[in-house]
Amino acid sequence: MKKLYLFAVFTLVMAIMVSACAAPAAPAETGAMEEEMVEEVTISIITAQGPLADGLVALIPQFEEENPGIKVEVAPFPWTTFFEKVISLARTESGEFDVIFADDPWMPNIVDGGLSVNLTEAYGATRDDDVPQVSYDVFSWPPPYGPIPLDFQTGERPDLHALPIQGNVIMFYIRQDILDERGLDPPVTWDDVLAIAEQVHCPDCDPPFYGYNVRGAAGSDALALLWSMGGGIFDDEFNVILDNEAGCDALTLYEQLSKYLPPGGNTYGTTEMVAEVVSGRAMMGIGWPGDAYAAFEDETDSDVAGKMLYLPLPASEVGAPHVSMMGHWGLVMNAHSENKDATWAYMEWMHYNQEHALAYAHAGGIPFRKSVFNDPELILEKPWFPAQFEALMVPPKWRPRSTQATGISLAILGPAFSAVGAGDITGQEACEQAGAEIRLEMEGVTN
Amino acid sequence: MTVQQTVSPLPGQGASSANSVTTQPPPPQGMWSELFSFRDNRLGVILIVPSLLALILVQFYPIVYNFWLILTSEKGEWIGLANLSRLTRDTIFHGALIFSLKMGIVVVPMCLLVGLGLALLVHSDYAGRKAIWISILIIPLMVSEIVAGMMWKIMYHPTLGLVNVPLTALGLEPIIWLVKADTAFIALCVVEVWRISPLAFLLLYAGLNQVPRDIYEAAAVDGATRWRAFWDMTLPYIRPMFAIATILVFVWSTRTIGTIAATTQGGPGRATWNLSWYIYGMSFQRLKPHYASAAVLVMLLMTYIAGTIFVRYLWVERRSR
Repeated sequence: MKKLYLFAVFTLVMAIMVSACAAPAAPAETGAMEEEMVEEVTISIITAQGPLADGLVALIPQFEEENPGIKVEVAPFPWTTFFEKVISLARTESGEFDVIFADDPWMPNIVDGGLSVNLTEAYGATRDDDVPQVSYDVFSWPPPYGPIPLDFQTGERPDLHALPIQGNVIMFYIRQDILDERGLDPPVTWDDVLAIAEQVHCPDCDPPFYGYNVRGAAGSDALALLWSMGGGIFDDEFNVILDNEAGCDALTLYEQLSKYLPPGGNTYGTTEMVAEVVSGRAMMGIGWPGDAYAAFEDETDSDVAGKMLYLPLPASEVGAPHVSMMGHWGLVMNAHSENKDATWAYMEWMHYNQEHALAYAHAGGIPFRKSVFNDPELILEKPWFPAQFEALMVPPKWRPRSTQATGISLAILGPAFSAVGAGDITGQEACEQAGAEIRLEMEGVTN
Repeated sequence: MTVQQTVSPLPGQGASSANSVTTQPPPPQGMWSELFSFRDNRLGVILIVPSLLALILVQFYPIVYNFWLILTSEKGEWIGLANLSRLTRDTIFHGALIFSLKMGIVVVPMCLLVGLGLALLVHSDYAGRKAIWISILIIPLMVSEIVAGMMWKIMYHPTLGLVNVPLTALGLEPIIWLVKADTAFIALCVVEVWRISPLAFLLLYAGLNQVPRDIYEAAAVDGATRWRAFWDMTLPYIRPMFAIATILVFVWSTRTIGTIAATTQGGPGRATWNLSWYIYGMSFQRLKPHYASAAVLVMLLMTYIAGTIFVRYLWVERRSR
């Protein structure tokens, strides 16, 4: 009897658990109130934590007020797991999120994984004259120019698969006050940078002062340095060119710059890099505006607020273009979303309205419109905007349109720079090794 | 009453040394017959079926799926053992495997020593309010790998970090811990010992609590020294816990990924890539999950072999009741 009782209890518990896990039944259409509730749509946005999410969150109340019936939820993910999550969404064909706030290098993975909607075709998305054209090009598919892998050379018209929301470009920063103090000109080429670093580097001073500063961990700034020196990973036919003269020169330049780093600078992430600058111990370096420059100019915590000069990246030689690296972020409509029209309403609202773009920048977001970059009030707050706009108009380069680009950058190029920075191998050896590894990696790869 | 009559059987000595107080163990049965002898306890078996199914789903399905991934290419085509064969030629994988094993070889004994030392200390009469000691000592276990890594990265900072303070106080040059391969390895081992030792401490402390106090009294009567009592009585008693601690510490230390992500990010170069970092990079950065699965299999085998060795040489089962 006791066993029977226990069995009955067990069965009941299991039944409750199973029913709790089951999908909810579709709501019955009974009554006007329920119909009204069904009409309300909630769209969900996956993004990275930090300023990216802050700007979106700040504008939600205004959007919801102007668009009754559409609610917006933002799901910020830690940066370290964000890309994995996007890849998982593609692999599982998940409609869990309606909008993916995506970094531009992920476009090959997103489009190749069937995660994006062709916005030109489906919603007639157009290009706005107030937005730099390169910001649209980077989110167009197939890629309109640049190295294009075989699978993506379809000959089709490049259509928009995302709308830019952040026009980020990596830039160069330097202590203007020290340049003035020593009567030095701002650097134009990397040779100028080396000369200035040598002059100001004083590790034994009290407090110490370092000639150059870098996010050395895993060679984070490698690609930017490579491009600004005229190098690259691939040529237009997708042949590996990392180990050509310009590529090896870039790695050799890093070898030379490493002499002027703070001790352990080769292991620095953004946090340590910023800490050296705001404490007044570093002369110059390269960095993303969104990560670093706001901290440099924060008068409450920074010793160098108002003392910095921001420039496009130095060139390989006088007269060569000042090529920077793009890091745009755009809104991608998830192809598996069940709320596509509401999602488009949101994307359109965020991208095509100048006032909303301005509000986004005031909320901490990075602009993508020319008019916002040149807004006088914003420039007072964010003095790097003119240089950022200048870098954007060069134009900067985007990371190779290959599904393998992120892996190559993180697992081959980054470690090569890191090894050079540690003094384990020379720049020449590193570029030759990394070039050979990339060739091996790309064998048989067509996307 | 003689000493032998009062002493509980030592592990490994079986019932024969346990005198007449203990009953004879049941006749040995095969594992399967033991598993399926549920005639008298059907309800019990029925009750564990859901958990068993869940276990099969979450444990065995991924393993089977992993095998499928290994045997197919990134495009899903059947390629047999090509992924495993490629691993044998992959020097980056070899480096990661060796780094993982080196880490295990250094971290396991260190953690066991520190854990045992702490367990003995807290178990001794010198430590009052043991609950407070335990709750303090297991704090590193509560800290996530990433947080621990970030904390230690600050401590390893050449000029601002605490680790170099004693060196500079002695007039020595500060060590730039994470920049060079050898010092980065030592630095990571220290983080892992700090992070995992409390696990060994907890297990060994639990083991110490199972040792009957009366055997020490009996040993004292026989004139055994403290060291002798520890070596001949304490250690054999806690050997099963020692084996468990060894296996878990080995698994934790060879699989760490958060610590590496927060401190060296695999650098300098690839000097601190372990198997987990390699598998993560191969799967989520280089987008080769099928090939990465072959490395996962090697990792599983490594853990299985190490676990078998530890159990074989450390575990002595207590059969007597």
